[in-house]
Amino acid sequence: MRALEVAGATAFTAALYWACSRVQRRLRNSLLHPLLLSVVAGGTLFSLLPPVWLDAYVRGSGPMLWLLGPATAALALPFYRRRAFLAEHPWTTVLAVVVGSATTIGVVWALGALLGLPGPLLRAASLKSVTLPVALGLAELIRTQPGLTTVCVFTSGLIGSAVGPPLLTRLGVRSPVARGLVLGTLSHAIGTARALEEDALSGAAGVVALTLAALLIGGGAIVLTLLLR
Amino acid sequence: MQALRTGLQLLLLGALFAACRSAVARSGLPLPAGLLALLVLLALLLTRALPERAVRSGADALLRILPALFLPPGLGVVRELHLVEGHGLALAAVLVGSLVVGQLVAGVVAQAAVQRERR
Repeated sequence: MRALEVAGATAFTAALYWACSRVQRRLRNSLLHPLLLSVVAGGTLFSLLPPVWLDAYVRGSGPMLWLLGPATAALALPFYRRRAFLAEHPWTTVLAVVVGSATTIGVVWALGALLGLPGPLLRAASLKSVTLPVALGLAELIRTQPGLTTVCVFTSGLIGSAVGPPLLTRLGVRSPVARGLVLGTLSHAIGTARALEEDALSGAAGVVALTLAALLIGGGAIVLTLLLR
Repeated sequence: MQALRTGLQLLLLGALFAACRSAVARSGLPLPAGLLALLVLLALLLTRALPERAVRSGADALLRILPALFLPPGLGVVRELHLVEGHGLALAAVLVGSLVVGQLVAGVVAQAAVQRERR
């Protein structure tokens, strides 16, 4: 029974993602990311079906969730390959990542408190600029929902890569290094893909920034958890 | 040959994560095992204890399928939607507001830092 659920959940995930990738390629709109299309299509399907279907899917998705662990470790490689960028721009990189991460989390907390956002939503929103595999590990740590975290992280990536480049141009931020650092820090992998479309140097800046932002916010979450327990 | 190499490297990355998970469980530290595995792998690469080619094809394979691996947690949001009820607009405002302010501040700071570098 369990093996059947695993096979079914894996096949369903692969088929849905593949179909949505085809749709995106045909529509050629980078905002219609295959993950967005798959979550909307799959989410609509599961909310129409009796809840036992989603229960079976969740039980069957255990091995895929486990794979997120080694995949998180694999993020070391893209960073390692661009270590020359960090050696060349150490202070600019650290400054942009620290200031960008601290500002965005500060605004999440201030605006969230002002608008009365409940705890789990506030915690999920705090993780929005962390690359998703790391954010999901942190979500478990700070006791917030993985689905909400996925949605928060993903919307930051999509909206950030759509509004970021024109906003930076209007601000006079023209250096590819600065643009890549901003897109990587605030919009992780999706922002980095957008930065790479502009310039290879921007793409390298994005990869370094997204990894450092994840380590910085991850370190912060771990320290806060240790202090509060 | 290539498939075998990728398979072995996937096993290696899996074993690294499993070791980190058991270390975290034993230590009782609040640390996501995946993040620890990332740090360990990065340290191994930087100290040249492990050459990049020993994990390259396995890591690339994992990173290629990574977006699809987000689908199970993403679909779990169907069960969590009740938490958002009544707070949808506030959540959207927080997400967009914090993102744009973050981009503005980081952009100005990064551009100024780049100009200082050039001097």
